[in-house]
Amino acid sequence: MSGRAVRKVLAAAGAVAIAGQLAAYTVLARLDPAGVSRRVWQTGLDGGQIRISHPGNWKLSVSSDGPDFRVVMEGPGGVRMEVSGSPVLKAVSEAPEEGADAIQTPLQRAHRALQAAARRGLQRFSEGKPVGSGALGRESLLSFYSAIRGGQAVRGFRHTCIGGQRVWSVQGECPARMWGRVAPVLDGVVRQMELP
Amino acid sequence: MSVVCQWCGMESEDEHQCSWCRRMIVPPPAPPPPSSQSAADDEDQAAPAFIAPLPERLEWFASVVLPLMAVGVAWTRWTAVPLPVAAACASLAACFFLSVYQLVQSVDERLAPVGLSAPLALMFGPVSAAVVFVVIFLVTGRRDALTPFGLLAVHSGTVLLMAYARAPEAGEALRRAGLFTGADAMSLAYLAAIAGWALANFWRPLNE
Repeated sequence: MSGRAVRKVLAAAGAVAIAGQLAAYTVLARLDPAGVSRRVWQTGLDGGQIRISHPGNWKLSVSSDGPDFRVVMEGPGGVRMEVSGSPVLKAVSEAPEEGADAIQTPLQRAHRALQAAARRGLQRFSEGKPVGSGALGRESLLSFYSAIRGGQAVRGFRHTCIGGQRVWSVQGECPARMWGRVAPVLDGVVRQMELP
Repeated sequence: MSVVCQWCGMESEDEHQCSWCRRMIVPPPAPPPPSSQSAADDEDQAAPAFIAPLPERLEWFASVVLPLMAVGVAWTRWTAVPLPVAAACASLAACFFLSVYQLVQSVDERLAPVGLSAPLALMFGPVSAAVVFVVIFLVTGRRDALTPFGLLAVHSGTVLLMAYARAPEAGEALRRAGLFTGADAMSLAYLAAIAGWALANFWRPLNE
C-alpha cells in the first residue's frame, strides 16, 4: 500500500470515528433523563409567576381542567412530572373541620386529599409518611410512594404546598429501575421551581 | 551531485533522502526560463520554494489530525478533564500540525497578524476575530490575513468538536464553546493554538 493510500485510509478512519462518536453521543443525550441543557418555562398566574426549569429534552404541556391549572413534563424513559394547582382544594382544605380532621392542618388535609387522588389508576400503591420539606419556597409536605402503573413498577414523590390562591401539588415519577439516577434530576427541578 | 536539505540545511549526497537527518528531500521547482527581466527580479525568484503541492499537504494534515481529534473527542467525553483544558490541548495539536504541514505560514513570516488575532479572539471570541481577518483579506487582498484566519478557523472547529463531545446538543455545545463570546476560560484556549503554531516552527523546513 502506497503512502498516499495509507494517508487516505487514516483520514477516512479518523473522520468516521469522529462522526460515529458524535452520532452516538447525540443519541445517548436524547435518551438521558438528566438532559444536557436546561430550558425555562414561565407564565403569569394568580398575580404571580410560575417558573419551571427543566432538562431540555423533556416535553412540556400545559392544560386547564376547569379552575385547575396543570403542567405536565415528560422525559425519556417514562419519566413524568406533573405540577397542578387547585383553588377548589385550597378552599376545601382551609374550611373548618370537625372531629378527627380538626387536629390536622390545612396543608395536611390537602396532602391527604391529593394522596387519595393519586391512588387512582395505580395498583399496589404504598406511600410513606409525609415529612416537612422546605422546597417550593414555602412550607410543604413531601411523601414518597411506589406502585404498579400499567404493569410496570414505578417510584415517585409528591410535594404539596399552599400558595396564595391554590393548593399546589408537584408529583415526580419514573420507572423503579431508574429511580437512583432520575431522583436527583427530579429533585433539582423541584428545588428550582417557583410557584405563585 | 549534492543537494541542500530543506529540513536541516546540510548538504546531502543523496538527492532523495538527506544523508544527515534522513528526511525526504523535496526537489526544488525547475528554474524559470531565462528572460529579459531585471536583476532584482531574478534575485526574488532565485530562492527555491521547498513545499509539497497543497493536496498532498492537506492529505498529510487530515491523516494525522482526524485520528487525533477522534481520540480527543473520546478523551473529552469519558474523562472529567475540564473542557477548556481539553479544548486547549486539541487546539494546540491541530494548529501544530496545520503549521508543520505548511498549510499556514510560519512564525518568522506572520508573527504580527497572528499576535494581533490573540487579543481579538480573547475579547470577542474566535469567530468574530476570524471574520475580521476575512474582511481584511477581502478588502485589502493582504495574504498575511490568511494565516491568523486559518488558525482561528481550525481552532474554532476543534473547540466546537470538544464542546459537542461534552454536551451533545447543538445550542448547548455552541454556548459552551464560547465561539462568539470572549473573556472566558474557553477563549484562553486560543493561546494554546498559537503556542502549537509557534512550536511547529522547529519542525518546518529551514528553507521553505
